[in-house]
Amino acid sequence: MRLRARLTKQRLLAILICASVAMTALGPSVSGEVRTWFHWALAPLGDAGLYVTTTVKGHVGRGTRISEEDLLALRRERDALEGAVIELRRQRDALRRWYADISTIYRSIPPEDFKCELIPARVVGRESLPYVASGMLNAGSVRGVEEGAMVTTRNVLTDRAKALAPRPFSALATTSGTGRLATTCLVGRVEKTWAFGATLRLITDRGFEINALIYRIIDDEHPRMIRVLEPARAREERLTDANNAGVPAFARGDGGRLVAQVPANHNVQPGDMLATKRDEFLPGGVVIGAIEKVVPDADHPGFQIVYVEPRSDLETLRHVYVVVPTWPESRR
Amino acid sequence: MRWVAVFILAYLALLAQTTLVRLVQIHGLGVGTVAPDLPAIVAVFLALHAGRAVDAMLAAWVLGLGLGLTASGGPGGGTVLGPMAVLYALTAGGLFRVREAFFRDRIHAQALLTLAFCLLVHGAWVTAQALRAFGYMTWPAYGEMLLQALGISVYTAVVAPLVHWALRRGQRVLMNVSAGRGRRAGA
Repeated sequence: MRLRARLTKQRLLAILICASVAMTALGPSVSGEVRTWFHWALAPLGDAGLYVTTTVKGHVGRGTRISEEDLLALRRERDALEGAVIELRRQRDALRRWYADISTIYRSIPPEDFKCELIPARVVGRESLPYVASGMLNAGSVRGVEEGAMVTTRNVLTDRAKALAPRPFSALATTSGTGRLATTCLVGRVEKTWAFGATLRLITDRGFEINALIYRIIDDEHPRMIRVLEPARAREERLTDANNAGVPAFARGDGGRLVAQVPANHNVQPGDMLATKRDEFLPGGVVIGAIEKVVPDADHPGFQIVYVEPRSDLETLRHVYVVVPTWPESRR
Repeated sequence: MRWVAVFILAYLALLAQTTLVRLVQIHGLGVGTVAPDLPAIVAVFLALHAGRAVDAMLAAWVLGLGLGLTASGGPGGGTVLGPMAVLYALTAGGLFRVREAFFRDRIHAQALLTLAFCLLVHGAWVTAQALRAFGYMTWPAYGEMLLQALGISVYTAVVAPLVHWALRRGQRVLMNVSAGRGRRAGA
């Protein structure tokens, strides 16, 4: 018997629909692989489109406007930082040479700081459906981008000492929104990489989850009381530098913000900051967002639901750093 | 159907969807971020004007696949590829069957059919993704996504007549003949 079938449009459609159903059944990992085959097609023109979009949105803006005085101050600061960048690049090159010379000795010493490579990348495409919050990066595994790596903003000078310092919050608390340290913040995580690109899952995506810390702002004019729970009893204390440890919070995106559940005794309030906890992918203290709203958890007495507004403007996000740890031994 | 032109149109629609649509998306209506679904408008236009149902369905499948390719993320390991393409194709096929009941050049008909198309496609897609991420999704989150789908559908329906008008200008490039009222429908 001869099997001779002509490929008509009807048959082609039936095959494509069957393939789609099969793809659905195979799950997100296979879908992710297939998506990587097609991203090369959208990236080149998407870059230009996103440039137009972010430029227009940057001018129109949805955030609060800053005064001319602040703008001038920021421009002066930017100019000074650009000068510092040149000097620091020179220093970095010198240090790299020095590092190469003593690398053998250096590797035998356990790390105290978080060693990482900041890979500059550009967001060249965004999600087509508003249900998800994702993007496409123009840097891939060829440039060292790894799956699971965290992604931060790249607005100003981000040398490691300032941007990725373990404890930036003493500075943040007095910065009032325009400080240098407040400009670098977490925007997402690399979900999938291929040779020349990567998929970025933004922090507001419903699938984004992170173990973080909430840093409470101490305001002497408005002292805050917290309840310290001890085995025998609970007592109230005023929040001070001595007892202001970060409040652990498991935050997840809800489509537009991040949401976390925290014990009410910590007395987290709007204005407090959510920041990263040190893990194998990121140093601690990188800002994620500010607490926007705190409501009691109706289902779990003694807990609060905190809503976190991302610190970065994810709508105009374009230039980012992918943070790739360079000290494998430090990965726990 | 002139397939090269249709593929270019699909590509441009997807490109605009992943970049320029951000300029007109709306926040703060209480239903999450809302933006028009341009590929859906194109799919509805092709379903209204294609000569054969199978052509409309194939073009819609391509548009749906493009949407799926550019929408990773979401709860439970991310969205899967496939449901959007299937839903686009089947809904475009359904729209082709009922189009004779409408005056397709009327603004109201275009908006209404686009609204119905988006409600069906997005409602079913959200449900499919929620079922797939069963362990991660909660009922309130599912409800929020359905509300968001409603918002997206309404927004898309509002802008649909404008896009239909623009596509009508270039219809000769997209297809050989305009299927007239009363032309025999079917594959």
